Amino acid sequence: MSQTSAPSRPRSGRLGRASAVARREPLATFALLYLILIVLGAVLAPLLATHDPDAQQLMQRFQPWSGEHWFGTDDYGRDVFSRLVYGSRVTLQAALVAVGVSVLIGVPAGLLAGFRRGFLDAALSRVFDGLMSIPGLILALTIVAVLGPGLTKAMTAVGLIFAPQFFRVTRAATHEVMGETYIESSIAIGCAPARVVLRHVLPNVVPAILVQVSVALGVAVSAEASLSFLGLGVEAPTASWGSMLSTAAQTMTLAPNLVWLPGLLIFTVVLSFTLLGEGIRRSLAATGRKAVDE
Amino acid sequence: MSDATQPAPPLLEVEGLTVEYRTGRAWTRVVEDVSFTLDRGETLALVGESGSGKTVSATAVLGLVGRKGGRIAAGSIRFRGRELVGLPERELRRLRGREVAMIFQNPMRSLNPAYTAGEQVAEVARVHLGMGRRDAWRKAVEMLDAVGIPDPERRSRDYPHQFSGGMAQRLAIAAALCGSPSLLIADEPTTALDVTVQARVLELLRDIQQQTELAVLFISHDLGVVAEVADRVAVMYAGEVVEHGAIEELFLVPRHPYTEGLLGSIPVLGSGEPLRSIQGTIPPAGSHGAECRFAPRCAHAQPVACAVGHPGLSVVGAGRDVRCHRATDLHLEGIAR
Repeated sequence: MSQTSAPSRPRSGRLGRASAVARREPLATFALLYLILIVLGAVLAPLLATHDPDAQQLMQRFQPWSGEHWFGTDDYGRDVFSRLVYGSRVTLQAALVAVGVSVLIGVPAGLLAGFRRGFLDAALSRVFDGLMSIPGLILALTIVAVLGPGLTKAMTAVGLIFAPQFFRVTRAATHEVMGETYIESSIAIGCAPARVVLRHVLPNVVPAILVQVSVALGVAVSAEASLSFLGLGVEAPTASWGSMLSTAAQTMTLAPNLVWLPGLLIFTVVLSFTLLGEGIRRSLAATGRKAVDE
Repeated sequence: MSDATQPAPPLLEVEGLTVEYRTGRAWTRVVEDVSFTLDRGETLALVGESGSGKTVSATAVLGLVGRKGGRIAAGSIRFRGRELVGLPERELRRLRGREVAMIFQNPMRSLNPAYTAGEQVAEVARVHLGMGRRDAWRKAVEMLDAVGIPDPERRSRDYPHQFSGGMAQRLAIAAALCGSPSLLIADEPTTALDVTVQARVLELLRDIQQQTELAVLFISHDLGVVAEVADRVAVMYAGEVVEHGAIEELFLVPRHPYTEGLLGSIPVLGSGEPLRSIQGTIPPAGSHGAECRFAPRCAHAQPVACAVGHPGLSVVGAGRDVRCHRATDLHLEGIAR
């Protein structure tokens, strides 16, 4: 190939590249669109909700689907659609808290361990191994027992439990990137260690972290459901998908749709996060290291 | 500090450099007693097989051996008369990229995939020249132009994977030279490239050298490429310099059997002669006894004379050193003109 050859790929900008990825990963793209829709719903909840999610109308319990109540009403006569919409806020926020906590703990520690190696690496690895051996539910129960109930506290505990995964992924990716010539090159041009890590290692580790974030968000959504189901999550009137599932379980025989609506949402959102993560991983593997060889 | 009456010291002076790497609990010598000098505008080629210690010797100049578990066990490296061995990391950092720069074998892998061409080059300007974002970018585009990348304005916004190998190596050269260093370490810079592209990159390096008096420490295993660029050659074998001399002398009249072997394995078009290859492989580091390290593979080795002891590097002419017991009585075959 001649030196002056143009890049082999058509250069149609970011949009062109995005559409190429979308064609290669239709499932992940669909999952992403679905998740965007869910997030939009959470953000625009006050506009979308047809009723006050917590307003009780005891005369209208267990109403079927209708023009007035799109998804019917629950055991206190509250509008299910509005509760699902508002509940998505609580659930997604809870998931963000958990993943945020684990990213904040796991990623810097993983970068440090992967970059410094040696004793620090060994010490941090043992700490996170130890963290992994703590049963998550017990830790969540303990934290709630000590600090009092509240979804944020419980999800912080979940985040602590997730942290080792982020540590491991970041450490492994950092380790791999550190072996690359461009890192040696960055040292050879006189970059200080902090600059090497933040400007040269981190951007190349982010993709791996992103995959993990997506998967962890899914797991966190189901963790919220479990915690709320056990009564460790949001308190009484506030709706979250997990708490709706929990209360609906008590009247399952009377109104099964109260169970499967939040259940379906949890299922599809968790699945979407997983598919998205898998899609990101695959397309990075396909394009990440591909160089235009001579 | 040098006296005004003394001649200025050479740009780079490496003396008795010995590098060891940790293997388990012990230290293994990878490079032993290597000495060479390099003046401004000059090109010295370090030549040898893989594992001969040429890359390690060169990276020692940048103070990079510690990064992979190595240490400089002995010797000195003086740059502009200033001792670099034992210099604190902070001081070394100021040197890297500013005074001594390096380019690598695989240009594609030596460029950070997360940044555009312009950003890669601009980084050096920001780290060393204290430039702001905008000035650094302008400098980067200038550098891309200077290394012959067409349409630098537009190309500066492309990512490394959008460059061909030759263009990527030009880009790496642009980044290396952005801090206007006086010494460039080029570690097999053309090995991963097509032959035609290779020639153009070498030509670029020569042009830059003529304009800027850049000294180049050129690491290669390819004597054909070395013949194109080097003024002097140091042939390395098993961690030692075995022969050193000006390029013509060394090519026409090699004094070490290993050099003869290397020259014999360059294909000559239309000569009709079969290629002479060197039998055997380089012995692993740390396995050397007290005899000549090349003796087991040497066609001229004599059972008694060559096993008596480790040959020292002896001067056999002006700027000409050989490490061989039989240096005076051997007549070896070089490249015929």
